Amino acid sequence: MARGVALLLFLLLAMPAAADEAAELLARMNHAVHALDYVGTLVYGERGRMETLRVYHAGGQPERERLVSLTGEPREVVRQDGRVTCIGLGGADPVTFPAAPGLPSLPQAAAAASSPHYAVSVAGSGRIAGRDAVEVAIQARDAFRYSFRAWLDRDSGMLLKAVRFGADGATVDQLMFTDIAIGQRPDEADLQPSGAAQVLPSAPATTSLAPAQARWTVRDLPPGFSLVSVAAGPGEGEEHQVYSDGLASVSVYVEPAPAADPLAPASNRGAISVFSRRQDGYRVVVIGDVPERTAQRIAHGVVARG
Amino acid sequence: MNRTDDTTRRHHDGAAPADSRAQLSALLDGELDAPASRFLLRRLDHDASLRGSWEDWHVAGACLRRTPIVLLPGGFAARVSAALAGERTPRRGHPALRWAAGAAVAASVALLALLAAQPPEVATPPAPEPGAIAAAGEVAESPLRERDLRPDYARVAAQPVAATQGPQLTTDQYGRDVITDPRIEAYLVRHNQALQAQGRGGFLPYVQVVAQPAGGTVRPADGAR
Repeated sequence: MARGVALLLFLLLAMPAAADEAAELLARMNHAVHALDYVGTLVYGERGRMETLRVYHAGGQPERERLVSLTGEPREVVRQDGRVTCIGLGGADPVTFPAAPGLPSLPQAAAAASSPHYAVSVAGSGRIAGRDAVEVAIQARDAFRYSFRAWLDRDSGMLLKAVRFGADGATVDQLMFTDIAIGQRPDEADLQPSGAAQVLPSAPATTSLAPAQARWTVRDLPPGFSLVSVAAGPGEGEEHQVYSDGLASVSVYVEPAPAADPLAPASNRGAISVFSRRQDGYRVVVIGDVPERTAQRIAHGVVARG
Repeated sequence: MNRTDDTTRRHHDGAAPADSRAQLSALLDGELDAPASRFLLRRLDHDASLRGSWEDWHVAGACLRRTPIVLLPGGFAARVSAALAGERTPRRGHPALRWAAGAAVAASVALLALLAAQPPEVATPPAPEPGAIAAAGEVAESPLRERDLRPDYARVAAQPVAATQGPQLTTDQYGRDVITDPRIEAYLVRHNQALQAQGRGGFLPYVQVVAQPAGGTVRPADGAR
């Protein structure tokens, strides 16, 4: 009996400490993927499909990187000088457009450590690409969001492997470095795009609104999701809202649409789910990195504000 | 062609017939005459296996030589053949479809924003001067010139895709049903731009950018077929 009580006390005391350690590891990883130099090969898998990529990353300021596909159609993304250049993606012409800051990292994953909708813990250890790794689990507490597991280099904190899971435990997508040289500065030539590109046309303008100005709202939101932004446009009567649980984000588009203009009702692209429906002459489209049921529930909850 | 590249070819010989691979190897080495080159390039447009060998050898060889890669977009062989024939290659497809392809790229790359740690600078950079970012790929001696293999940098139409263009069901290279709808790509672009502006993120999108199959396709979700 006394042994049982002692064990229970130990577990109660140890659990918060484990969560803190996991959060610390995720924060360390965030820093590592941006600040370190590394060159490696990684494999990305998604529902039966697998691609191999070469990664060149120069850390610090300015952070630079280049990803090149080694399988399938040649594709390439280069980020440097405040711009992103894409070559071979979608079979389209090469394009360059303003860069989004950030490399493969998990800034939001670190935030998940304090979210009541995710449980974050150190799940064990392993060996990835010949390096000792610590395994961190980000477990969704319900089926409205994905769970993750990340393997982090024990020495540097670098992300070596990551897997995203659905509520049924099935893998949605994953990546893993098969070899990586951490601390190796890429050659200048490896950081350069392999061809010229042109600037992508700007997207149509929208106007930010205060939440109270929104013409539409979502009833019965999945737990943990809340409205984070509203914008009107670009077309007359169109509205774009973004909801988030801190880690996953979902866009809701409500636009006037004739009945003879259907959109595929439901689809997905890796971890991105899309769900659309018609309502009173409007088309409601929900899109985000959430399970399909989450996109569906949000779409069916869209109503005009009273 | 050095020994390393020869080894690479042996490891990437794929399913193309041996004689075709030999011709392809000769083309890469610059040992194929112009008529035979034209014939082989025409075959490349219709023979996925042969095209795969070409791409694998070229990419792997360039990686091993640590030189930048000259990428070969869809229809490149037709353009090269036209260049060899001294003809102007017709630009295929409706402008709206070309924009849709551009939107697919934008959608993919906008996924970068998923992991943005902070709101980005929104200033649009100036358009590069023609040739300002010259392709620096290395190509073995061949009847072809490196410039023949560069993508066609024709401008993408600046207008959104026509609203009447509906979803199309096709099959991807893995034999799975695929929905292609440029409007979904456009929604994805705007979604990620909004996330970028807010500094919100998801999980590992940068890898997804390059790892996504070509075409900006979206598969039907389970139960939606």
